[in-house]
Amino acid sequence: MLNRRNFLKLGAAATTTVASGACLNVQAAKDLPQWGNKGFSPTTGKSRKAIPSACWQCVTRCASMGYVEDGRLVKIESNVNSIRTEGVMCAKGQGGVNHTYDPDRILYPMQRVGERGSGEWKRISWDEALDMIAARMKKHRDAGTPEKVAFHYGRMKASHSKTIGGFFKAYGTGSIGNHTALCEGGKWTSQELTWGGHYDNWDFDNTKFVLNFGSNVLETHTNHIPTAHRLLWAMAEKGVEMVTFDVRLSNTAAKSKEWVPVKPGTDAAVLAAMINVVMSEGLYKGDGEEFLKYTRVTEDVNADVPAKIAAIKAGVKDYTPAWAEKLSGVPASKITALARKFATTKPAVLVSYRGLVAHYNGNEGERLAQLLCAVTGQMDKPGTRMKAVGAGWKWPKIPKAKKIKKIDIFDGFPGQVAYPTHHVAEMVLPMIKDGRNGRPDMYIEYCWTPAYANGNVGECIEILKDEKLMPFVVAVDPFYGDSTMYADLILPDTPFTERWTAEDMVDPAQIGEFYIRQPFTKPLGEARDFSDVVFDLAKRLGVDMGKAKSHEDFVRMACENTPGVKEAGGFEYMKKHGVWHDKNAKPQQQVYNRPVSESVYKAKGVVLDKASGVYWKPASEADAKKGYVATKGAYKKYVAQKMPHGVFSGFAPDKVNKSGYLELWSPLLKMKGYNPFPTWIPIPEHQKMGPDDLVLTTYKHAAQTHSRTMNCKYLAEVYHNNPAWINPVTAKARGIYDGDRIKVTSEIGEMVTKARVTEAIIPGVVAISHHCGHWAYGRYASGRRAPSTDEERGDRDFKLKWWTENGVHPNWVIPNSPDPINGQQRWMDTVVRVTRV
Amino acid sequence: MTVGSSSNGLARTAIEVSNLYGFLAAVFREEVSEHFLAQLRSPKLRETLTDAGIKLDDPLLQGPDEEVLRDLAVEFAALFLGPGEHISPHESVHLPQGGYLWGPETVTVRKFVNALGFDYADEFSGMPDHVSVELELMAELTRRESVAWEQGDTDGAANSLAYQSQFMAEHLAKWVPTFCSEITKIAGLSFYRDMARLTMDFLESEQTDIERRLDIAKDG
Repeated sequence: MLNRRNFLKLGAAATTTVASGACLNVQAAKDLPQWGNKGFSPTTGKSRKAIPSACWQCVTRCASMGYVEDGRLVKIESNVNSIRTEGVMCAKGQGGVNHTYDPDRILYPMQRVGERGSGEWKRISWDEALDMIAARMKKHRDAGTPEKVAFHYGRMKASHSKTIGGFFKAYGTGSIGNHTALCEGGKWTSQELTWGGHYDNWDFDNTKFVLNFGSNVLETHTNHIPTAHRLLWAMAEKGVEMVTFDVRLSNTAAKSKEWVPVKPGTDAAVLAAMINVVMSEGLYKGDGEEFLKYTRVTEDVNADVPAKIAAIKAGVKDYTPAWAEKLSGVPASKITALARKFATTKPAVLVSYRGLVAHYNGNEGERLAQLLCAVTGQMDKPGTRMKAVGAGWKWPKIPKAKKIKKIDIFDGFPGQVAYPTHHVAEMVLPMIKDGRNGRPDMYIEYCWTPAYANGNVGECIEILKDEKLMPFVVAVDPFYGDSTMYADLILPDTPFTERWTAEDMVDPAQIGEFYIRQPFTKPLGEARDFSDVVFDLAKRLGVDMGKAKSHEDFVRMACENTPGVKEAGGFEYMKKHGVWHDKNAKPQQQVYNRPVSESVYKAKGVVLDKASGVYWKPASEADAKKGYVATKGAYKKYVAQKMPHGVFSGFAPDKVNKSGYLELWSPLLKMKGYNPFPTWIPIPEHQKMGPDDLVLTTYKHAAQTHSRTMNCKYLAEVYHNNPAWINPVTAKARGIYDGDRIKVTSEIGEMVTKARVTEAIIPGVVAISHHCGHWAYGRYASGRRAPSTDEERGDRDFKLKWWTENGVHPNWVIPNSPDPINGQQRWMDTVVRVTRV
Repeated sequence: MTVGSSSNGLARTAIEVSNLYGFLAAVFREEVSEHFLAQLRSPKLRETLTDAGIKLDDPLLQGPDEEVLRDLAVEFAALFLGPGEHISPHESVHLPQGGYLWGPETVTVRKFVNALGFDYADEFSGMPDHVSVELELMAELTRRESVAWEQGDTDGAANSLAYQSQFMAEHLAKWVPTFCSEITKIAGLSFYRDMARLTMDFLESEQTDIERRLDIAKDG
C-alpha cells in the first residue's frame, strides 16, 4: 500500500496532467471566503445572514452565531472564533432558536383582572404598565422607604447586571435577591472562605488525571461546553483518565475511566480520608510542601511548613480510609489507591460540584477538596484547579443613590446561615411569610420562577398567591410560566435572541474572552428587554443612569472604553465578530506567590494586622484597633499577606475577611462556632433514618437547564420525562418493578411518579431530575394548550409531539433548607419513603 | 350580500365586502374600544348584523360601558393574547409547516404584502401574518376592485380579484376557518363566537364570489 509520501511524490510528478478550468472557472474568486459561520438554506439555497451573538440558555453563555433568513432566525450554532468554546455548542444552545417563536410567548404587557392565579388578564400599554410601577416606586422613595421595592432575579449577568442592578441601586433599594443559593452558592462561598475568588477553572488542556467529586461536568456544568469539550478532547486524544464519584451513573460517570458509587453526602468523608492517606504516606513532600508555604492550616499565621504538616496530620488522623469506607461505601483500598494516584500524577485536577456541595456538609466538603489540592500541590497551576479568569470590561458608571436601604429577607433567618455571601434564595418567600424583617410592597421577579425553582413548591405558591403577604407582584418574563401566572402585572421581556449584552463568562484558556450578545431579530410584538425598560423607568423617576441612554448604548460604550476591545475596533468590531481576546496574552496562573514590594505594603495608611498577617488599609484608627477579621468589609482594604518567607500578593479576599493565605484554618468559621479546620460533618437527617427511609437526590440532564428550557420543543423532545431512578435491591424490597407508579413521601408532602429500576444508581437512594413537571410554561413544557378542533390542519408540530407525559417536579417534596455555613439549598439531602402505588 | 353583475352592482358588492373585511379586521386586531362599542350598539350596525344572522346579546348592548369593555378585553386576552393557553391569531402557528410564531408562512405573507407595494404600519405590533393583517389586505384589495368597477376598469378589477383569489386560496382559506372554529369552541362571550361564525361564513361565500366576479371581469 502506498504511504502518504508516495501519494505526494505522484502528485509532484503529475503536474502536467492536471485538469484546470475544464469544469470550473476558478479564476473568478480571488480569495477563498473564510471558513465557518456562513449559512445557506439546504432547501431553498438562499444565503442566510450570520449574526455573531451569545447564548443565554444557561449561565455558561457561549458565544454563538445566529442565522437569519427572510427576517426569521432559523438556526443557532457556535461562533467558531471563540477561544472558550472553540466552535462547540450544546443542544441547549441550538434549541434556543425555539424561544423566539414559542407560540406561547407573551407579547404585550398584561394586567391581572381576576383572582391572583385565576388566569384572567387584560392587555395594557407599556405606558400604563410603567406608570403603575413608577407610581409605587415614587411613593416609596418619597416616603423614605425605597427598600419596599424588592427586585429578585434568577439570571442576570454582565452588562445586564450593571444596568438593571444599577438602576435599582440608583433608585435606592438594596432589596435585591438572586438565585445563586439554589444553584452553586455553596461552592462559591466555600471558595471565597479559602482562596478568595468564588469560581474555579479546571485546566483540562494541561492535566493528566481528573478526580471528580459530584460534578456532571460533561452534561451540565456552569461553564459547560468550554470545559466539557476540553475534557473530552483530553480523554479522547491524550488518554487522560477521569474517576468520578457519584451516587448515580451520570453520563459523566459513564464516560469516566471509573465510576465510584458513593453514598449521598459522604464525598467529604472520602476526601478527608484521601488527605489522611497523603499525609500518612508522605505524599505531600515536594509540591505539597512548597504549596503549604502559602496555606494557612493553624491559628498561628507564622507557622512554618513542618508545623503545618503536623497540624494537618493531627486534623485528619481519625479520617482513615477504613473509617470513610463505613460511611461512604467506598472501599478503603479504592480511597487509598486514588489518593496515591491523585497525589503522584502531575498535574492532576480535582473537580467538584453539587454532588459534593449541595448538602448540609457541603461547605466542609469543598474545603476538604481545597485541602487535598493544597497538600498535593495540585492547585492554581497548569493542569490543576485554578482561579478563574473572565473578561474585565470597563463599564460605564451608573451612580448609586446616596442612601441605599434594604429589607433583610435575602440572607435567611437570623443565625440560620453563617456566611450567606451569595444570599439564601430559598428562604426569601418563607421570610416574607414570616414577616419579622418586613415585607416588600412591590416584588419584581426577573428571569426568576420562585414557584418552580425553590423547594417546597406548595408553600411558595401559597405565599405568592397571598395578597396580604405580597401586595404587588411584577413578573418580567418572555413566557407565561409557573410563577408568572401568580403575578399582578407581566412585562413581556425579550428572549436572549433579541437582546444586547456585553458578556464576560470565565475562559478555561485562562486568558479572558470579551464577547457580546446582539439581537438576531427585532423583538416580537411589544416585547422589550428589561435592561432597556429600566432606562424608561429611570426617566419617569428622575433616576440618573449615567451617560448611556439604552442598553445597546451601554454595550457600545463598554466596547469603546475597554482597553483592547477599543483598539480592535470597539463596538463595530464586536458587532461584526462577536468575540475578542488578546492574542498576545499568556494564561493567568499563580498570582498568589508574587512578592509585594515594600513600597506597597509600607505605603501610607497600610498597617499589618498581626493576628492574620494581612497588610491592609483600615478606614480609621478604630478599625485598625478592631482588627482585620472583625472589621466589616475589611477585605476591600486588603493589600498583601505577610508570610514567614516574605510578603506576597497571596490569595486575595473577595467577599469575606479572610487572610491572603489559602485559608484552611478559618478564624471566620471559628467566630461562628464551627471548626476552623476542614471537618467531616454528618448530615443530621441521615443519622436518624429508619430502615424504610431513602435519600432523594436530584440531577440535571444535558438537554435542559433547571427551569428555563422545557418550553423549547427541540429540547422537550429530547428530554421531557423523569421517572425516579431506583436500584433493583431497593426496589425489590418495596415490591417495585420497572415502570411501576410509586409514591415519594417526605416530611413536607408526597408526589407520584414512575420507577425506573436500574443498577445505575446505588441502593438506598431515589434520584429524580429537575426540569420536568411544569404546570404552565407553554404547550411543550406542560402539555397545556388551547383546544384545536381541526386535527388535520394546524399546529403540525404539536401533533408531532409524540410524548404524552411531562414528568414530575421533585421540588414539591424537597424542603427549603440551607447549608448552615453558606446558604446553599440542600438538593441532595431529603429523606423520603418510597412505596408502590 | 348584494349579488350584482352590473358595474355599479359589482362596485357596490366590492365595497361592501371591503367594509366587512375591515370590520372583521378591527374585531380581531385589538380589544373593543369605547368607540367600537358605540358603533356596535348603533341601530344601523345592529340591524346589519341582525340581517347577517347575528343578534348581539343584551349584556353587550345594555351593560355599563366600563364593565362590558372590561369583559370584552379579558375575553380578547384569553382568546388571542394569553398569557397561557390561547388561540394564536397568527397564520404560521396554525399551518402545517409551522406551529410557531414567525414561521415560513409569515415571510410569505409579508412578501405578498410588500410585493403589492404595501407596508406595515409602524404602530402595528403583531406579526406580519396576523389575521387582521390578512383581512385588512383583502379589504384594501376589494376597495381597489370597487374603484375599478366604478371607473369601468375591468382589467383593474380583474387584477385586484386575481390577487384576492390567490391570497384567499394560499392563506386565508387555509387557516382562518380553523382559527374561527377554535374560537367558537372556547369563547366565553357570545360576541366572539358570533364574530368567528360570521368570519367563517363570509370567507366561505367569498371564496365562491371572488371567482364569479373574476370571471365577469375577465369577460370584460
